[in-house]
Amino acid sequence: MIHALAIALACAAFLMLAASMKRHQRDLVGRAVPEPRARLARIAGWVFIAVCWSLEAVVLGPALGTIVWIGELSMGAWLAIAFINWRSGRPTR
Amino acid sequence: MKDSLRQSMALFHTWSGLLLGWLLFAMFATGTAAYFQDEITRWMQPEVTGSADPETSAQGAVRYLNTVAPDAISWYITLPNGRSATTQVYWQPGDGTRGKRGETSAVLDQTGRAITVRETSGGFFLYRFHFDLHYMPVLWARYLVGIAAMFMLTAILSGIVTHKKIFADFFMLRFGKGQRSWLDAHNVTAVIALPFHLMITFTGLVTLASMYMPWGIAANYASPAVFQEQVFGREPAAERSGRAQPLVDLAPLMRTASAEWGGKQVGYISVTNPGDATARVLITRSPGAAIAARGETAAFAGATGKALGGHTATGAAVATESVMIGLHTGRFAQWGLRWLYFLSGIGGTIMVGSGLVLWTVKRRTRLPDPARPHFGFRLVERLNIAAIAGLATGIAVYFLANRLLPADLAQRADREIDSLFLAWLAVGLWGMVRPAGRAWTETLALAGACFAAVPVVNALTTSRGFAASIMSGDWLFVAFDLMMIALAACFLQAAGKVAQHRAKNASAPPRRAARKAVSQ
Repeated sequence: MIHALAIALACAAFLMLAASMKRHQRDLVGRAVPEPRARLARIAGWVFIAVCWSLEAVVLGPALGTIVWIGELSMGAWLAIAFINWRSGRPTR
Repeated sequence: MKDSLRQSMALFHTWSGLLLGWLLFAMFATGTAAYFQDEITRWMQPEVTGSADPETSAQGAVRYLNTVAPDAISWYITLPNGRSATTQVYWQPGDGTRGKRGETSAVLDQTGRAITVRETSGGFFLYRFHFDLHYMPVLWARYLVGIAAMFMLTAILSGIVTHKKIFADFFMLRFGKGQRSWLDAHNVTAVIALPFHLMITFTGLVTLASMYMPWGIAANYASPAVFQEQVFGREPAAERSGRAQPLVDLAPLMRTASAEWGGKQVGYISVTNPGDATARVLITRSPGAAIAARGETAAFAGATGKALGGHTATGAAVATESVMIGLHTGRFAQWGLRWLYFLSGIGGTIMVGSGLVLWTVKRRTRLPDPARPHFGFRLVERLNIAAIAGLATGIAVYFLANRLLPADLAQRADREIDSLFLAWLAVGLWGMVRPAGRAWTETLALAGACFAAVPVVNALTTSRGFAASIMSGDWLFVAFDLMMIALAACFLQAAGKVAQHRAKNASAPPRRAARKAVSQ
């Protein structure tokens, strides 16, 4: 179950990072985000990624934790991309 | 300057990726399946049920070997782990002959009885094909695979340089935009699991590094055997003394060894000169019990049970190699991580596949006469069909053959493998003779249909169908059926997409012509 939590955290991290990028803001937030807010989202995204690593490092140890963390980041990123795609309303825009 | 570097890298990426791309696709696909090789084997041996205890299994194996091969030079016992339920034994006959395959090995249950299962190579074949290929000498295959892996590594590195906007395009996956969509798919699958792709390619090379670069060992050791002995503690067998002495019970030795390794499970046991006063038992840690693949060993005197000392490969280089091989094979991975490995592998397979398709998509628009492409283009197009749809069909047929071939067929395991390649060849030939667009639709649909047939055939030929497996809580069989259905859905969806695309293209030119006519 720790995987589900960590993947959710990684997904949230990537959504934060996406929200800090101009081209995804309309899809995610519905409007342009002012720069201070965007910077906050960027910081939050990286903090979430760090928290995700710390979580795995504490539970599984730094070696195994890092391996698992990389796999979870990939899955989290996939979910984030799927979400952004769903929000942007495919196929063309 | 920067642009010219990028251009040359793009050119390099295009060709290093293409040249052995078809082989890389097969390596990635079967290697990904190999993360579940034990599970695939269990599915392919539906006669085997339940689980087995390693200690009981070791005792059972000794009982079996004592009756079958009491005077063997050595016994090798692979114990069951959490994922498998059988013991595999292999022995070197006492007369020094190598013995025919199948005559010096057996699959046992935990009581030490040989199980009469259908003869199959199971998931192990997919694992071995991934680096040994088939129908060719293993040595050649490994060199070929090594060259392919080296190309892959350079393709990844040059791909990173070529990719202009790794961060800006990180989340970009646009559908329905032709070439742009293929590029997006290729980029996203590559970037999302980039650490995995780099790791898997590099560590893959490391697994066979001493074969690709034997000079380090050649320069420092008298022979590879001396290297093995000094670094890994593999001593040559002593002469038999001729004084018979029964082997001690292995269970206490296993417990001693396991305790020495901090509770890690035993994976393999080998016994040299069994039944003799000089017998020696070597217990090796299970590769699944730690990240490092090369397990610690513990040696015991077979006649007395006296500990002869253990051996842990020491030295930073050996430890690094051991961890890298462990990372590549992922034997240490529990369920969650195993699925992450598998999904990353799927991503890698899609990355290679989409890269191959992208090569043709990019060039199709630039062809002087799209109706009659030149030979090179046609070749790549057809090889893509053969590699992608052909291999998928082949793997599905491999599973189907496992259920449909008669259980008592001679050399049954080989026939299963042959059916994989026959199906692959058939799809490849089909792709050659049909128009490319239509061939894609047909072969992808065929692959989908074959995967869809697997759960049906399984339900009809065994008592472990989908419903029965759910009722008995047999999640391995349930998951296998679901995976087959998911693969079938993906391939059928892809076939539908290609058909749709073709229909759109077919109707486009007349419309354009009509518009032209109106404007004139």
